[in-house]
Amino acid sequence: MSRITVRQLKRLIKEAISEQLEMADVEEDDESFADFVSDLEELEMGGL
Amino acid sequence: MAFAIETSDGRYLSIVRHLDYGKSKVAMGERDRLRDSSRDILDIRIQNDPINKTNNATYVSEEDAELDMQDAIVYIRSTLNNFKQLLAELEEESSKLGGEEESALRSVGRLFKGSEDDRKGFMSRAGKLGKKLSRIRSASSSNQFVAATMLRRARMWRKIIIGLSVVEV
Repeated sequence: MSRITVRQLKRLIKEAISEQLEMADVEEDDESFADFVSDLEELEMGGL
Repeated sequence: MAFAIETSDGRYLSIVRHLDYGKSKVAMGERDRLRDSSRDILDIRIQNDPINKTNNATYVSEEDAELDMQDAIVYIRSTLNNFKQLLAELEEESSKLGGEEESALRSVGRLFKGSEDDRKGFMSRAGKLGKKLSRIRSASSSNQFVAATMLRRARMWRKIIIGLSVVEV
């Protein structure tokens, strides 16, 4: 990975923070919100 | 007559709450027992049918479904706000990693401009810098993966809460 990777990450983050988020066409089957929250908690603890 | 919370793409929301007797899903009529309590939401799932093998996501009254839908929206919105904070922390870390990488690359530049007399010293420093760059780039790559994955899922849930409605099933 190069510095472009960091720029790409920043771009992704700015997209998320922006209130102007356009919803992407994302489809998940039987998605669980608890799983998402659990992953966020792991991220918070540096587990990911 | 039964009601359910439908998503904009024709699927259904199943809201799971903590109950006194343990974990339980909100089924027909259960909302009546929950109304005057403050049971925490345990999970929210999206399923293709209002009733499937493991869960019944229907309500006996339209009002019950509306109340649960509003609770779900508040719950998801609150978590997504927390997610923004995590992303901001990731951004800070990525900036730091970018700075470290630039510094390491400058060191590499200086190394190659230096004297060629000290071969052993050159190899040692080059090895250390290589390891450092590898660590930095691995961390950047990991951050990018985490951010992209979480962002995709956050967008999906945000899309879900925007398009909910109560329907008769």
